[in-house]
Amino acid sequence: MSQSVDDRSIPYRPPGRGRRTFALLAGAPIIPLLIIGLFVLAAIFANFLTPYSPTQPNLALRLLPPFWVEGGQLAHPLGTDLLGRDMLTRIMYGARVSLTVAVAVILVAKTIGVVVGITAGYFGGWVDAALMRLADATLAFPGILFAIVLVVALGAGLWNVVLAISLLDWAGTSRVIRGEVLSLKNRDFVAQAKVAGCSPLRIMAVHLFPNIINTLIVLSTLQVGSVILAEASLSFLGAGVPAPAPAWGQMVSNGKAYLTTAWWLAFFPGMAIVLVVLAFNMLGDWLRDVLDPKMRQV
Amino acid sequence: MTRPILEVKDLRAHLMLRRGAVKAVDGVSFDLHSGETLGIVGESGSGKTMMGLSLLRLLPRPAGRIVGGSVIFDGEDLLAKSEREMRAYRGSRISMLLQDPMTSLNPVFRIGNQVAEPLTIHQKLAGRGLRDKVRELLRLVRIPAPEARMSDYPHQMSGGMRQRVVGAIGLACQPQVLIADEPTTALDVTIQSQYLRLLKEIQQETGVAIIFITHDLGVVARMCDRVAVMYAGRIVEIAPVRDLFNNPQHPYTVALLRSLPKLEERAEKLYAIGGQPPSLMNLPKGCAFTARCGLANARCREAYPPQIDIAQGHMARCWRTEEKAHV
Repeated sequence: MSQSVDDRSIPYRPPGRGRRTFALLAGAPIIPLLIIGLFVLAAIFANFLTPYSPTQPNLALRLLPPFWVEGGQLAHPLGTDLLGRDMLTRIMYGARVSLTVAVAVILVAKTIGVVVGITAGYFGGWVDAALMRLADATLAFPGILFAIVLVVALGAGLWNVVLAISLLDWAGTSRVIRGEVLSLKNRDFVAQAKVAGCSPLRIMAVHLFPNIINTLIVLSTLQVGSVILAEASLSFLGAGVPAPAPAWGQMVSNGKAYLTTAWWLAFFPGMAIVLVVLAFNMLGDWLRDVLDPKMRQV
Repeated sequence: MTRPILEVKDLRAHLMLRRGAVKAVDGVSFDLHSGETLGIVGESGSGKTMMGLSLLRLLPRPAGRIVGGSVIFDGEDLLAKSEREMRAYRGSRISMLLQDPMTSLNPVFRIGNQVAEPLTIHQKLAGRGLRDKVRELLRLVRIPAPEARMSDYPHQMSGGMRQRVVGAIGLACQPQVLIADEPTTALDVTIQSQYLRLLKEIQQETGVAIIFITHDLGVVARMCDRVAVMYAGRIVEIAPVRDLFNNPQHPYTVALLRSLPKLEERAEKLYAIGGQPPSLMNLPKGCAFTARCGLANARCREAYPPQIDIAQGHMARCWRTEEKAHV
């Protein structure tokens, strides 16, 4: 019988895992990664990197300008604040607050968002209606106001800030994920999975979830920026991490009255916020391109 | 004669819409034996796909509902099973090939893992045994270099290859019944021909019974042992394939066969059945084909015709056939 299908094996060798990973990383955006890496290192090793305490006042050294300005000292390269605390030290410890909040919020909010989104999208009907009205209600609230109310009600503190921002952020994610699932669940591969005898839980976890991971990662990295901004806004408004602890937003807030006389009080923490948010957004853009399976190296 | 592997009796499946119930499957009965291929033909919207889906109890939710009848598979009524019990049948003992191979594979998984899925679910295979079985299945559906292909993603394969992979998934647990819902419509003719030959070979090797849903009468003639013609949710004629082509009884079958273009006649215009199939939401009281039938009379409009046996295994539902038989 003549089969036109060739049974001989075609010489084909996929490139090794190591080589593929290298090719992938070679295209990574160096500058954003460098910025994020620097801030992460600073946050983790703040204790070792600076001899000063972020909270101990030293009134003898108050309001020193950055070292390149007349009157500045190299010992305090970015100057000191109203109470004589080293700015660079406070920014490094501030990174700890911002990044902890960002990571924790992303973990909590995305978990809720994904579970709600996939459930609503997959089951549809009244489950969908109920969950999405809940999301709408959350989205309809003015975000920062809601967070302030929550923090005031729960008491200020790092984890309450995390909770407040998480309770705001899940809704957006769940809407996006639900939309994605709605378009995915009518695709034939879901029907194929049903035909193969998969349970709804397995279809959601094994078939749908991997298909939304790209969206999720991109959403997450892009949202790190907005979470850091939200945390900064909360501490700027005084509803964030309480006072002696260094938080960027709170530092900007304290410095704003001295913009004309001691500009570095607000400028450097503001710069830190801008740099981190920008870096995470650029990383998110790159990840989106890389994680698209259609653009993966064949 | 041995007991059929699948007996469908008076199956009714409706789609409950806000505007009313669409009677997509309205009293379908047939038997299917091991190793046999039953073709289901009919035009778009005649309920072929819905019928296939309702055998697996996978009607689109929440609208689709099976409202009556029974599906006896190997002596057990599938309609009486719980959803959990039903899952144990799907993919292991009854399987289905979907219409479009281009979309029925999950884009984010490697081919090997997708073929492995029914095996992990139903046979709890893992590790080396699973890998060997997957390779064997890919070889069964004639994928060249199965070892290398297992780590491919679907987008790295051609349409014909993907359809064969879908076939491998469907056949993974050696099902006794395979429902093939127009598995070749999305493929070009040469690939289609290869694929049909492959299905036939696999059927000879494994003895699987195939329900072949299609609107291509050429494919039916080639693939099937028996053919059921569906119209407006009902089987209007069922016969061994030779009988159906040589001696069609129902006017709809006759019209279907007439609308096949023939090579020897150069017709100016191709024959087409006039009019439209009736709305499945409010079917006429009598035969559903009356509006388009040249032979229809008052009785046809009055009552739905019963099953009339023409010959061994040949049944049609038409009053006029009965008259002819009596004459």
